[in-house]
Amino acid sequence: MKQVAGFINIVLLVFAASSVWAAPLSLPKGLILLPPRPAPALKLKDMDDNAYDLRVAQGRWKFVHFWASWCGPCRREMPSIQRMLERMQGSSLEIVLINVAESEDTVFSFLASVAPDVNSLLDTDGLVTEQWQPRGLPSTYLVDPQGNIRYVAIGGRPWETKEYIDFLHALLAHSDK
Amino acid sequence: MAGPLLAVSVQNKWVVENKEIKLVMIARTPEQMAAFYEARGFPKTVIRELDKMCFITTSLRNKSQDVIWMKLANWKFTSKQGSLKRFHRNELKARWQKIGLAQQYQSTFRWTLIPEVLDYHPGEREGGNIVLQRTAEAFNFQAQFVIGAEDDGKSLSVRINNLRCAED
Repeated sequence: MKQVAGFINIVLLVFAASSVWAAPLSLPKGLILLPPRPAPALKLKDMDDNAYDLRVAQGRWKFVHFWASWCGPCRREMPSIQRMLERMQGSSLEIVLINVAESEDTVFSFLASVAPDVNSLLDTDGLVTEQWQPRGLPSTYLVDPQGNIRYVAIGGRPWETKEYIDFLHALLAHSDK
Repeated sequence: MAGPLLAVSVQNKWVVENKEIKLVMIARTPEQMAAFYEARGFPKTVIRELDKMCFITTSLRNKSQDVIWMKLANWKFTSKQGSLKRFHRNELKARWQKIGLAQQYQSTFRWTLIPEVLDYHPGEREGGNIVLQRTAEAFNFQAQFVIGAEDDGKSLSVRINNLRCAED
């Protein structure tokens, strides 16, 4: 009898766990769920000349954002990303910004004026961006802990709003289970 | 079948809108284009090449609840002389490679172009430049879109008459 109860408990646990995974997250506006595909390599330097490789964040969700200062929606979205960064501080989300083919001076002056706390990787020749094939600029991908692209955001999004912050926290909560 | 949607125009700007899409086309002057690319460090040789081209900044928004397929291959520009040449991004890429334009400028230039093919999701707005052979003549534009995630739904036709390249 004890064995049967144990078996039922295991079944219930498995069921509960699978329903957590299977329960579809409520998608904020402009986010598209994609069939999983491996994220392309991403090895670049940041504005302080530090080398970065996306693989360091293996095992965690990653927010990968492509932008350029000449792109109007990117300019409008950047302050929202800075506020989102503040709100996600202390979480396990890896936030990675990639400037597309602009000079360090341009990136530095732009970020200093609109989002001074944001650092960005510099894809100086634009070749890494080509590998990711964004739909346009800005583009944001959410990459799962296994390194697969799972979501793409269409255009600029109000990332600091509750809808998006809750969604990001829900993603992290799922992966922590 | 409904006829093509027609545009409303205001100096160098044309707008076509219904409940499914909003298409905006703005003809840019050579000075505007030169200023944009010069500010990003593009060399003079390239700016001189761009002067011979006609830039139309195009924005398309999907207002429907379905996917809308846009394919530039289904966009036709015609003047009294016949079909107007549109430069494909690959042709422009080859041109920049031939003159040895630095990779960073090639990349920026590509990102300022509208994609050749894109499935616009509900609410999505993407855009970029269309590059045509510069002409002083008025020309017409006709495009076909397909509504449906699998690119197999109903067709939507858009027409804009009397477009013009913008002059300085």
